[in-house]
Amino acid sequence: MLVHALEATVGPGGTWNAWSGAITSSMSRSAFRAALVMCSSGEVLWAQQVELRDLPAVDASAFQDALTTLYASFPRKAVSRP
Amino acid sequence: MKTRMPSIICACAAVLGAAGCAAPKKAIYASPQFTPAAVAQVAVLPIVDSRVGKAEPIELQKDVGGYLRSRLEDRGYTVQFASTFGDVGTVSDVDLQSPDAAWIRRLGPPDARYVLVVMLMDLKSTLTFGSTGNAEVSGYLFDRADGVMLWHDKGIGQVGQGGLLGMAFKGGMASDALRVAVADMVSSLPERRK
Repeated sequence: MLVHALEATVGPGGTWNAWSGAITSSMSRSAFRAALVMCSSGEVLWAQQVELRDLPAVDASAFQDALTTLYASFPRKAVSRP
Repeated sequence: MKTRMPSIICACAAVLGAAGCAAPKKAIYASPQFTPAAVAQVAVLPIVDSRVGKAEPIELQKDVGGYLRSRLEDRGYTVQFASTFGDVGTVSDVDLQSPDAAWIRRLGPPDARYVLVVMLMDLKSTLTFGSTGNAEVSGYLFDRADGVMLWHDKGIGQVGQGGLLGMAFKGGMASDALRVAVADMVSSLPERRK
C-alpha cells in the first residue's frame, strides 16, 4: 500500500518594519510524505519526505517539483522486455 | 477645546493601559490537575530533532539546552537534564500525538516524576535583503507517576534585520530565532512559586 500525506503548516507571514529595519520571513511550510507499506506485516519498505517552505497551489511548479523529488528515490521495478 | 482634553487623555490612558496589560500566553493544553508548586524537579529529556529538512546545522543540547534551562529556572523550576528517553527508547512526534498512560510511565529516567520533552519542529535562516531566522519548538510536560500530560505548548521565533548589517549577522539568525521560540514556548508554563 502506498500512503501519501501533505502536511501544510500555516504560520505568521513575513514582515518589514520601516523604522527599525527589522524583517522576518513567513513561517508557512508544506511537508510532502510518502511511504510504501507491506500490509501483511506492517513493515515500511520505503519512505521519503520533502519540505517546501511555501504553501503552493496545486498547479504551481513548486508543487510538481516537490512531488518529483519525493518519488525520485522510489525503487524502480525491473521490467523484462521481450 | 477645553472640554475635549479630558476625554482625549482618558482615551490615551485606556490605549496605554490595554497595551500594558496584554493577556499572558495561553498554553495549547494545561491540565487542571497541574500544580506547579508540587513539581520539585523537571527532568528534561534529550531534545528531539523533528525537522523535516535538517539543512540548518545545530547542536541541540548546547544551543537549546542552556537557554531552556535558564528560562525554566526563571519560572521557578529546578531542572535536570536526562541522557536517556527511558524504556520507550526513542521519541517521535507520532508518539506525542495521543500518548497513553502506560507509555508516559515508561518515559524518561525511572527516578524522575516530571519529565519535559522538547522537540525542534523547524529551524531556518535566510539571506535576503538582509537576513532572517525562523524557529518552532514544541514542549510536553508529563507526570510519570500518574501517567498524564500536564502541559503542552508550542513556541515560534521570527527574527531578522534588513540591509548590509542584517546580511552580516546571518550566521546568528537561526540561534536567535531558536531563543525567541524557546522563550515563547516556556512563557505559557505556569510559574512556580517556592
